[in-house]
Amino acid sequence: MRTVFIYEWKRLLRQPVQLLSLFVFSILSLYSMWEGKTIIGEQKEGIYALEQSYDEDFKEVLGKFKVTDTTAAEKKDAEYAKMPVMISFWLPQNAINKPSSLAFLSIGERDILPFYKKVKTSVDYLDNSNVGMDNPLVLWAGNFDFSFVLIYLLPILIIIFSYDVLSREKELGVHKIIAVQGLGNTGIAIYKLLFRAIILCTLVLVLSLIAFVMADTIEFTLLELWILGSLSYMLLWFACCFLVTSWQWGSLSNLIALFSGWLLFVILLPSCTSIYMNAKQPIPLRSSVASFQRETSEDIWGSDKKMIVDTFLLNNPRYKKYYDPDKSQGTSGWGPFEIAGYYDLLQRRVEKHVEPYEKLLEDRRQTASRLNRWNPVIQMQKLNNRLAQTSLKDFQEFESNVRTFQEEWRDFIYAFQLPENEFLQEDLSDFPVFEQKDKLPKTSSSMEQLIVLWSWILIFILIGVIGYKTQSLKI
Amino acid sequence: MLQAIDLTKKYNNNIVLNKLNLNVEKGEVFCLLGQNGAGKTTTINLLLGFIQASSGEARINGESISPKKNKARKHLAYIPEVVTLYGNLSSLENLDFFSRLAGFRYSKAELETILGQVGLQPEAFHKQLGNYSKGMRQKVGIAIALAKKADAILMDEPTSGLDPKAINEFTSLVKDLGQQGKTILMASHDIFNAVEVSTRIGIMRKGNLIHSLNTMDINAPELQQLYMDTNKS
Repeated sequence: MRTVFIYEWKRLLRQPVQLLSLFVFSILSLYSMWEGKTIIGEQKEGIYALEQSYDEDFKEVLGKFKVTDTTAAEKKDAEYAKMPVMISFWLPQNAINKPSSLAFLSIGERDILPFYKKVKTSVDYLDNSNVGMDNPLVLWAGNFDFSFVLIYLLPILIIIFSYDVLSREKELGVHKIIAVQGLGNTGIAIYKLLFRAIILCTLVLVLSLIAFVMADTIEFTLLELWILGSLSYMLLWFACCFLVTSWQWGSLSNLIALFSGWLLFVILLPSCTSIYMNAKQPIPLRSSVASFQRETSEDIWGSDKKMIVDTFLLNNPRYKKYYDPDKSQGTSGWGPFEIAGYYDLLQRRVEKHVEPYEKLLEDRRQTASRLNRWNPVIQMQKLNNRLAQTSLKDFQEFESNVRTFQEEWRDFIYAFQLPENEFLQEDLSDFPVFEQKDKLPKTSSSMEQLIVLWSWILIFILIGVIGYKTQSLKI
Repeated sequence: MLQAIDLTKKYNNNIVLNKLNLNVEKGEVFCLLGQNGAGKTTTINLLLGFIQASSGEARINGESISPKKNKARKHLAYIPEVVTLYGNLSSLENLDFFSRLAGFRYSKAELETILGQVGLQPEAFHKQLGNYSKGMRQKVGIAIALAKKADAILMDEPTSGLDPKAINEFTSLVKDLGQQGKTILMASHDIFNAVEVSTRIGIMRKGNLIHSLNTMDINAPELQQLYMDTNKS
């Protein structure tokens, strides 16, 4: 093995095409990291601007409390500042999905899904985004991040390096000499593949370490999983090369077979899945939501106010403590309970209207997930997105946190608005704060993707071993 | 030494080698002559254990040779028709690589000595093989066979494509090897070179060894006539 490694190394250093491909791959990898940093950097700038803007608004609201009765306008502002509904209007809360330290390596859906939400006491269903990653064309035309380089370009590099590990010897006419010298051709093919695997794994390892140094913080669990995933994915393609070379075809046939495999897993299968999904379960159009929301709003606005308040209290018994029947506006007036009831009812009805769309969308995602379950390329993309916390699942978790926070914010405002209490300056410091639940992906949650990769590796190696065992050296 | 006992190879019902019996002794240079498809290369492939015989047996030093019993290959060396080797390694590196594969480790001086023995000029030792002529590469092939210290060397049309000077050098090299006690089996089309280099000659036709002659008993024109007559009938 040592002999093969020494001379493979010498030959590698004398092959300009392979050296150039290593150089180009390294440059592309570093560029992809920089590109990823730029995209995430822009999001961070956006988040910073959002926070700055909120701080300015907050200072302005604070100023309204501090004004003394100098001018009529200032007096009016001070009066307004005591109204919780105005506080809610002036200071919608920012729920920000901050990028994880690895987001720049695998941008996933971060650039197509909103990374922040303005939280008010009511929910507007029209600002929901439902773009999914199930469409491989979106995936293909996605960002040029390090994950893209690893998933799409690295297999090409592996193929360029390994397609001719045994066929080259045959074409040079040295396979018979090697066989006579004592080392079997299977042995030389395995050692040559092993050498290439070591070279490329070392390169990817070094690039991954550079990437982790570029990250803001280093989580060793993530580092381990990222490297484990990348190495498993590389092993998958080397196993594929091992399988194809075991058939002992010519170099050109090997190259065509391996590129066909690459096309199949990377482009064709995901595209077929997408075409099938669009035919069988197209993305539901939510065009009716806007008109439904408008019509429902008008309907509720014209409804009996007592019915609105009763329904509101029935659905939200926690607000009963603020309700004083003596302050009721009757059947026509709009008091705080009536307004809260209006928004609550509107939200519930729109939610019910949207529910089938959401279900269709979720069913679509589930079907796509099932169809892509055994595609190692899609699974690798999923794994990287999970590690970088940029997957659809991460966005759904963020949305769920936003919903919880929206209720918390509503409870806070309603604690003033419903009993008609004045909002005081010191109450500003009691604002609930949206906290991003930064759940680091666990090893167990990445196992699903890794098992798919390992299964393919095992299958390829087993068929390859059978191929090498059953096919004696073709003379 | 190198033996073929009723060695037969069939592909489906097509017999490409029919009960070949051959015994090449130590120091002998045996040249197999024959047209394309006569069974020369099949004989060499069977004797090297690259392909499985349909029946019969190939032996070297009494050890059976077959694709499944490749231990006997340690006694054998092989020089193909076209010695390409690794073009981006020098002759010294190619020799070192193939020697190591065979389990031999030589110092640089020893490798240079072996390359010198086959007539390669010292200034060529460090040049990449891609820049070598066919004759020079053939010499490196012989050097690899020598470095392996194999008892028998099998050559498949080794002079094909060589210029007359290179053929001449090759001939004297092979003669030297024979005198050193190596057993040599060579397949060739070159009747005149066969008479020049070998001690015995076999003429094959359609998988059968038709004639086996001692070179001392025949000259080149007679051999040519016999060869023509054999292939005419």
